[in-house]
Amino acid sequence: MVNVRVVTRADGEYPDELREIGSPPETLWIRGRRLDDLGPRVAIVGSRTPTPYGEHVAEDLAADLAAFGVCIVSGLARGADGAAHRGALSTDRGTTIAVLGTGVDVCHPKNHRRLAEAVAERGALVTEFPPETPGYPQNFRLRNRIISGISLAVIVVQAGPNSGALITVERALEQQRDIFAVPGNVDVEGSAGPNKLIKEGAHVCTGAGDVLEALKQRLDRAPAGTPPDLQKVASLGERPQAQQALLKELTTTPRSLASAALRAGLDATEATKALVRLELDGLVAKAPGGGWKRVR
Amino acid sequence: MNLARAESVAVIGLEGHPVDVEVSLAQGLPAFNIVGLPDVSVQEARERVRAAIVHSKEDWPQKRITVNLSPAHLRKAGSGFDLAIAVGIVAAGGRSSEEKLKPTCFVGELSLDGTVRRVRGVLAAAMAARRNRKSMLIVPRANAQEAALVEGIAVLPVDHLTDAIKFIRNETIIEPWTKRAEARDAPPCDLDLTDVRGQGPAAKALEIAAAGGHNLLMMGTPGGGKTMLARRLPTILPPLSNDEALEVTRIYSVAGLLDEGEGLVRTRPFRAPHHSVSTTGLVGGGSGLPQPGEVSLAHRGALFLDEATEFRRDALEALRGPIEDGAVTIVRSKFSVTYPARFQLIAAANPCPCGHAGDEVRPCICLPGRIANYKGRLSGPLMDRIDLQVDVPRLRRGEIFRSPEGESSAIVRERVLQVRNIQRMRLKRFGLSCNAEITAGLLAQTCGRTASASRTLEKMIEKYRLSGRGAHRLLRVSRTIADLHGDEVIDEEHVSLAAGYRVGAW
Repeated sequence: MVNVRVVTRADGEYPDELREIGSPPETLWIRGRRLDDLGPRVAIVGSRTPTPYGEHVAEDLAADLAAFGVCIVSGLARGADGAAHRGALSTDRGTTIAVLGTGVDVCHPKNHRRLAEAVAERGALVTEFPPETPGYPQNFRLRNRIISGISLAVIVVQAGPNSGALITVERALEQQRDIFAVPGNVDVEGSAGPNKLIKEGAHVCTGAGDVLEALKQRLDRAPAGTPPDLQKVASLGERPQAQQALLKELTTTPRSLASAALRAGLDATEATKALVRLELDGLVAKAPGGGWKRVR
Repeated sequence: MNLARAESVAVIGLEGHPVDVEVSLAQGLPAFNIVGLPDVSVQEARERVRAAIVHSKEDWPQKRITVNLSPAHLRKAGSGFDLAIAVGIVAAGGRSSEEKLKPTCFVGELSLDGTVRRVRGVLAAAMAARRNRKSMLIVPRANAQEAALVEGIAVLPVDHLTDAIKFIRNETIIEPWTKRAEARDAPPCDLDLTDVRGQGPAAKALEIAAAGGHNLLMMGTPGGGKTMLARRLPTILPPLSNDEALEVTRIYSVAGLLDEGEGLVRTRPFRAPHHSVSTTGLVGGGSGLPQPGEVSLAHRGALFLDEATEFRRDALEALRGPIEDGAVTIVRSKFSVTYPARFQLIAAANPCPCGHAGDEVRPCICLPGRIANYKGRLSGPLMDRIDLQVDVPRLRRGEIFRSPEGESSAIVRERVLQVRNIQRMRLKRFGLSCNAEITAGLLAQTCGRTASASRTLEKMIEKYRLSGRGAHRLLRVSRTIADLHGDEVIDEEHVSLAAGYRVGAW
């Protein structure tokens, strides 16, 4: 086992925020860098089966926050968690912490092994469970209190009515953390969680700026410059009519060619040609599951 | 006369081989033996022939009967020898006219009461009989239409064994079958492309595929209309030429799939095997004489693999050979059989096991590992042989009925026919018939393009990281699109459209 250390409540590295919560863990097993080197922490949690929208929002939000020196905390799970870690790692100096429900040497899910290695290198893997603890379901719920416990705020990206992300929100409320929710389409199941939180008074998050603004008192250094907002205003420029019409219909959520063409009032051939030209110019891209989306 | 000889045909694969049926009646204990490499179905002919002769009010010779099927090395299977054996026995036992027996070939199965039943492979048998310089061919009436496709041999239809017996005794004349099957172009079909709403891009892809003979992959969530589109492909394909029709009919005849009294198959085959099909069922084979598989039944037509990822891996891999060679050769220890299999592949698949990857509303619940595994089922070598790929998304509520009706099959078919003609003229000197067949070496000669098209192509090769083969596919599809536009030179817009249908990203 490489570079795993035990941090107790007596140690200076043990996060202060975590001492304040109701049932703080006695020890933390940590692999990676010192937690106090990583910057102020904000958690991003969400569904394990997000839609393409949820996935890219988690990733973009994490990247924008990380670019402003925020350390992204999440749970290394599939879906939104993984996207948040990836987003943080995609920036030059972004840091991220994965709070595990297993031993620090166990990887769950297995196909996140490479992601876990990257997190350990740029940030840290943290767990209260001793090494070699396998993934017992109840432990994942337990670790949620640590995700919110070590963070200043929790951002919920997409969560169904029964999502584990909402457990993290409950813990965060008990711990008096700020809750941010990214609004979603009302006809999508995964929007139920965040939209309900907004109704109940959570902060609305449409970009990293919202989070940085709310936390600016508690951040060590004030963010320089304005963080980008995820909400897009189309910059169409001097493009042919067909391309403009298509750009208006496309968002970062993939939309099928048939549907985009219909909405833009183009026939299939014209729409296909226009999309390929936009793609060559790097404005749109073909999504993995089919369909087309705008590129950031 | 205790010895007689009647001729019949053994059909192996698509080839008929003349078989001499020699009958000898000898003194000794009554017995009935068939020799000359007969398989079980031919051995069973003994019971049928005996009952049929008795019920035709003929004497059954109380002698030692030996039937030899020669040449002895050829495997004989099936019930088509019944008629020749019965005629031989009757001729050996009594009077018969040698000038009737000698130039005639007999094909047909007997039922116990002497009725002559239809058999498989009569078209191939008729071709073999003519090649063997026979002037008359006696066939079951139900097979007459198909046998009459061969010119230069008189097809004499019979209903009952007594007809054949009277014929060889010169007691009757059988009128040769002269009715020609009326040539029908585009049979009535209640499917039409107008039925498909809101899937403009996919319908266009289907048209391009039909026009250039390209293999097509349709991707999309369940219920999007992939199957609906594929089933309408035959409505826009050109009709079979006479030579093609003969090839197809010969395969269907051997497979026993011709309707009773059907002559030439005029419509392009459209085969849609279920995904549980075995490798043998798909490419042909089986115990005894190898039978044509789905790829051969789809010869000159389309093979539709719905839920392509659900097919057995070995079955899918077995397609590679036929797609490349246009034929399947099944080799057995003693002989080999070649069936043609030049078909157009239309495959449909879901983007992931749950079918919702990329869906705007319903999240995909598949584990990443399973998705990779699922995609891997269509192997690289197989994907390499597919030119076009299109998404067939499930439209959202309202979008279906808001979209305009699709073009009718008749209009699209007209364009396809025209483009096929252009291709034939261009590719004739290379011995090819459609753009999908253009080899890498011929691309330069056949796919002239403008400077802007070349620039765009280079940009695409870089942007999409196209392999050499990928670029060739793009060019071939661009060629077809330019043809659809009536342009001899490929322009930038043709390449752009082709790139919208490129294979890969899923």
